[in-house]
Amino acid sequence: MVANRSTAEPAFAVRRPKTRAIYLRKRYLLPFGVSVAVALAGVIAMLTSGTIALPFRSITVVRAMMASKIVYFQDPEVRRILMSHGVDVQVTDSGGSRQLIRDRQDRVHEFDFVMPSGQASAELIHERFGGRAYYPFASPLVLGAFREYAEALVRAGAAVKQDDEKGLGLYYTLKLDVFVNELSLPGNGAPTKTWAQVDPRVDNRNQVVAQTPNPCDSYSGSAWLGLVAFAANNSVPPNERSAPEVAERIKPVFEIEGLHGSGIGTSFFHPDGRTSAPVGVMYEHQYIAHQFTAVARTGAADTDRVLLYPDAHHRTEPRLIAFSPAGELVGDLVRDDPGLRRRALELGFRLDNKEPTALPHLLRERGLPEPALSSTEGLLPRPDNLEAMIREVGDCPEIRVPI
Amino acid sequence: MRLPVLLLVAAAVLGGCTTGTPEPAALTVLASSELADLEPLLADLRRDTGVELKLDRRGTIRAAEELAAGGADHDLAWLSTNRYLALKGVDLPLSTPTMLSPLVLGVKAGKAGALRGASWADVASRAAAGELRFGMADPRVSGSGMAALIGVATAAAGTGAALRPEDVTCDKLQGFLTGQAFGASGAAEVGDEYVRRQDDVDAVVAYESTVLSLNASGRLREPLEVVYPKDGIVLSDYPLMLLKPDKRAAYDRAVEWLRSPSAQRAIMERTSRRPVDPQVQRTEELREPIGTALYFPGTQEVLNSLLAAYDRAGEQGRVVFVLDHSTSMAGLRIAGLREAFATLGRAGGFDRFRVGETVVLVRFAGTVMEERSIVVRQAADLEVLAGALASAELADDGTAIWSALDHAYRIVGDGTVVLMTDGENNAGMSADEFLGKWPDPPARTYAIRFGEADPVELDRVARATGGRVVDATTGSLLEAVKEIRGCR
Repeated sequence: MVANRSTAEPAFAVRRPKTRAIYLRKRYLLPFGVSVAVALAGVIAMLTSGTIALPFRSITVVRAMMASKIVYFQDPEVRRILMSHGVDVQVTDSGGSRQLIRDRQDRVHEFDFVMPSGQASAELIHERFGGRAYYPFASPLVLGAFREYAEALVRAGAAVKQDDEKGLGLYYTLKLDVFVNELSLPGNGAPTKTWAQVDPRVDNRNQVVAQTPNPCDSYSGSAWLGLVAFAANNSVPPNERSAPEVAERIKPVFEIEGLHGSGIGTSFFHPDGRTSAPVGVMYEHQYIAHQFTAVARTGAADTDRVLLYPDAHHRTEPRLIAFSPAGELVGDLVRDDPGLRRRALELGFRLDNKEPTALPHLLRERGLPEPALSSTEGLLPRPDNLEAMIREVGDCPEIRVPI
Repeated sequence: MRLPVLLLVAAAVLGGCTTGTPEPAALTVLASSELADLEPLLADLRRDTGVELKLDRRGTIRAAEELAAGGADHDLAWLSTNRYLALKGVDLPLSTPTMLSPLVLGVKAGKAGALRGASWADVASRAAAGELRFGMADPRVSGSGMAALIGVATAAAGTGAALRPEDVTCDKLQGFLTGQAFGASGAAEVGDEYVRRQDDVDAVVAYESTVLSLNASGRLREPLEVVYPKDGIVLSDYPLMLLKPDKRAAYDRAVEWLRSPSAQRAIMERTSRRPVDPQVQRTEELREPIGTALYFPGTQEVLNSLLAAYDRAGEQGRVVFVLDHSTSMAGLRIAGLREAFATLGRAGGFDRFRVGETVVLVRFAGTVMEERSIVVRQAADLEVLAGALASAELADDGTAIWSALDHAYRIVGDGTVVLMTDGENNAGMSADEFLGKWPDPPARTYAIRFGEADPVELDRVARATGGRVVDATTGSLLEAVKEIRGCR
């Protein structure tokens, strides 16, 4: 008997699984979501910083040469803002602004722009090479000093402490006439007194002098020489006739120091600054930048280092001289970009041309007093006379004016 | 649905674009010899930045000469200072200071008591008497040796200004150099040599870093104390210099790393050099204040004079003092003369009589009364000199200046003559007779005048020898003698 077997296949109802896309599953979604969130945060950060576009934008490399203003273009924040505009400024240190116009003048045309630290050097370059000049900021020429040295000058009648509402006593006014004609050049062939002779509380047997970078090479050194000559010449800038005589008279002031250091504006702020540069010629911005950093790091100003503002003052104007469209692009940005202007202030520069009160505002904002600047200008000799004096005092190679 | 994936990919690509690993770079570096102690750190630099610095080491002075002559083909230079380069008129390359170390005296703890808070003058005074024997690197090769000469000579000139050529015409270094027991080719080598000779010498003139490293090395039987000469410091700042501008990117990476707080701390801990970064907390021994730096000479000419003085070290010096002992010297004048000799014998600083020197005393009035020669071989001889005039008598038989000088010329040998008188010549030879006899004077002659001495005649004779007259009528006799000590 044959069993009637059913040969029918069992019927399975194939139910479609309730599918969820693999990327919607929890096991997947959680790590992926976190990754995306992190990546998005990064992208947003790059968007806001301007770096996102970098891989897709051609970066313009801009070559520049300058001296002390190199601190501005080496500042990470300045570099970042410039980079967000597609600009990478590669800076070569000239050693001193005046080296731009002497030893390195053959090379000036290799650069998109140069930035001498002051107007006198800038004018010489502009005359010789043309280019478009920008005046983005300014900074007075000052003496930085450790407190006891400034007090010694007060004692000698060569300085007066400025009152400030915070009582920090960071600023003094230097009586340039007394400093030059009584302390530096006592007359009758007498040697300049030592700091310890001026004030026994100062443990320093070196002669009183404001250390400067070499006047042959640097703007600050040459401008200080101009101010000393102005003071030594009865507050009149020496003219063609008197320049040689005045130069000879002030030469000893610049020989006291012997070999000039190049970086007074940086070594003064080193921990051993009191050893190597207790009193030195520098720019106000170098000091103010140091104080901003001190306040940010420690919550308080550095009251050990002070500034002396000469009563015959010289306001230096670093000039950006552009020789190419790329250089002009940087000039436009430095002059107009609000972020770059803000950063210049934070680095201690003044924006006198457009916002004369911007630096005082920022000082107040950071809890620092505002210095009083003299309204009397110390007049520098005409460029050709100044050159003749620098040559006599510094025994340096000639810069013919006009170059 | 695909948006997140796309975003992730885009972010990864962008991220990859912006963080590039730096290209490895190997740079050759002309370096000061003592920088051998940085080698372990350079391995870290290479690991972190990809920049390998290959140091080619020699003395700083040698290296500066090589650079100035254009003989070096290195990418960078890393010297204790770029000042020697500047003095050679080289256009200074881009330089960034990396660390600091002052030149000091490291003196055995047992001998340090008398030298705590000492000046270079005190060091020179002890060295002249043979009481302090030290090692110092050769200034013809090494920056530390040259810094020592500059420090001592600047302090000796005592002007408070940088040395000028006219400040080093008289050699004030010999007292100090009397103490040099050994030389070495560099700052590090002087330390090694000190270890070998530590039982025979008292001190080493070297960088603070060398002295502190020696103390930490466990190789010394007696530790060294650091003396920071209070009349002035020479500070080295070890700039890293870019010689080849096309290596700028790697140079910047190396500088950034070296000046980072962690590298600065490592430099301080391993080499005992002071960090340039004010934010790096210094170790206790490096918090010591170091006083004021001396101004650095502005001309190579000065350095050449100092090297010439160094080359004369060890020569036997001979000075003939021709001393007026006529009765007009009675009272303050003879007292001043005795005081001058007492001081130069016992504590004359840079001008003290020194071991190796022969001092001849010719006392005269109307005739030569005494000739006495004292060879200084040890400190006891200096005591003899200090008291040599204490009981010398005066005579009233006139003043025979030119006859006494004539006597001195016959015994002077290759020395110099110092004549001191307060009167006019009224016995023996006249000035004309004297000049007639010695048309070509055998020795440079310096005259110290006080009282009624005739300045014109003295000047005439002194100038004929290349010497000069020093006027002691207003100042002290001691200062006048000091003014011409070391003049040759």
